[in-house]
Amino acid sequence: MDLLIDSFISAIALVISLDQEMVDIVAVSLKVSGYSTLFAGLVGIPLGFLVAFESFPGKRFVITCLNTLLAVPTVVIGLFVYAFISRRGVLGLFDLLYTQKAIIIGQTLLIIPVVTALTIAAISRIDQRYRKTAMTLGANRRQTAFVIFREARYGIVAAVIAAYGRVISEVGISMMLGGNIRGFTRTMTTAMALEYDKGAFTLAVALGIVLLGLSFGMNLMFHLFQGRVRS
Amino acid sequence: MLFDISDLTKTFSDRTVLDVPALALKKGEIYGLQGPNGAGKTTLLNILAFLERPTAGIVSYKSKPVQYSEPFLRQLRKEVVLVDQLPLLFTTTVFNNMEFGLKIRGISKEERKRRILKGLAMVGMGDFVYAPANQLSGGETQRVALAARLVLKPEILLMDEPTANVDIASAQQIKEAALMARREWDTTLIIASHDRDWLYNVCDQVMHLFKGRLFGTGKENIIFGPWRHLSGSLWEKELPDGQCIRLSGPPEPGAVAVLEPPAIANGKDTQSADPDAHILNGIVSRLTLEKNSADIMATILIGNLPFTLKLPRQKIQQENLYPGQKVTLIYNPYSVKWL
Repeated sequence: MDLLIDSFISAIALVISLDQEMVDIVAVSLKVSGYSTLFAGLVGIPLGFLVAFESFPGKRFVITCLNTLLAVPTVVIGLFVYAFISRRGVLGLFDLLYTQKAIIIGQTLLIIPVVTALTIAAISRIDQRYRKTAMTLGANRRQTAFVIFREARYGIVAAVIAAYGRVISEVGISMMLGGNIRGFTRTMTTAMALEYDKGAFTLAVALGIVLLGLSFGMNLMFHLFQGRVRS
Repeated sequence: MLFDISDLTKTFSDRTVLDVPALALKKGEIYGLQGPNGAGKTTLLNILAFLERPTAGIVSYKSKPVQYSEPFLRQLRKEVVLVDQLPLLFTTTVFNNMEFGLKIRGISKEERKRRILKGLAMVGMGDFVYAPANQLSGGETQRVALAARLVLKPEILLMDEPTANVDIASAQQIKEAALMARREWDTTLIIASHDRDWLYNVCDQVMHLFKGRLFGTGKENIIFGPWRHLSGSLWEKELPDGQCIRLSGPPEPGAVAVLEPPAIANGKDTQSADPDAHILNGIVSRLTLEKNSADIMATILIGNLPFTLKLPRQKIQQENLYPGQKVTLIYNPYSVKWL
């Protein structure tokens, strides 16, 4: 118990003093998670919108597959991407393994289904009468799609926030594809795992506090947007 | 003719919800559409608004058969607009909602603003120009939705139960605004409504839709089953006040009967020579002036069942009919159609 209390007090001091090593680790985490969320959003939002807006054979099957992909463990994606970017892999010549780019690729693949599935849910919740209203006012398909997108905007932002929350707290992909290299690919979660292995809890607890703080902030935003969706 | 429809059917999962062998609608007229819930009114309006395609049949608009391709329909939708029963406004300001259709039609900014202010004034919403649309009441939403269509100066305005879910004041403003559109731009109005008095007051023609079929003029009396066999071909339905309506040969006990107005006469004419005639006692509940004629539509309550009679104004004066007066009705049980 003393160990936990001592570590917690030291960790608080570390957070307040903005320890350089901690700040660097947080910066790497925010950067790779930010990029992966951006790329997943660029792919997942249009994909989710298309699936939700259009009618095509096998639509339900596609949605079922996407929902299944939500549960894929991070280590499976880590292994999958590793097979492509390792020296012996198809993309081995690009030297991506143990770089921030590798983490971004893996994390992007992890959350594309999250963004897509939640975008589909957000679009599907929009009342069908919006489409009818736009059409009777003379809108073409593109204008009607824009109306639906605009009505679903808060739900889509909530999808992106949820996806960001998923990647910033994952450890499998960052560890397997980033390699936990200090100052380069060390993220909050991989650093915490390492510090735990070393038996040095102070930095681990400090990073845990920062991570929890970030998660709290994102959840707060998520509920704010969800609230606007409901209203 | 604006619309010329032939052999139109619409089915959902093998269930025919609309079956219209022929329908012609003229420009500048006001049409009323009556019928119970589930009769197919909304489906017909959606087809007329080019929002749904019929399963079979030909719909001609301005003498040209409608091609159900998106670019073709989009052009038609710029002339024919629909106000839903429960319209939605986009989650932005009233102004932006009003501007949506005008922007699509490429109207200039100044003209858009001018039309929006005029449109909102027409429905008594002039003070709500920049109000958030999602904070309006049901009646206000309905009025703004109507105004957003009126500013487009449509050739045809379709209204699905425009006054069903609003207060009396809103209903009045909606009615006045719709008629103003007709006066100012010669807009053809097609109104589905349960407000029988309003339809008879304003419409050039009222149609009755029941189980997907159009029939008569909307003045027919519809009597639902169940029917109980009496004797021979006669079946009867008991009313809450103990009286019985007797009619000839329903196809099944749950069938729906249609009695046309000429089959009912004021009770003081019971000396008429029809030996098959039956008598019912009722009370005058409403007298409504019919548009384009000197006739009065009299609603007689028998039990809780409203019967409609079309009577010349002279007859009303002669018989000194007024709401609350007891009357006797006579009808021929063999003059019935079954649905």
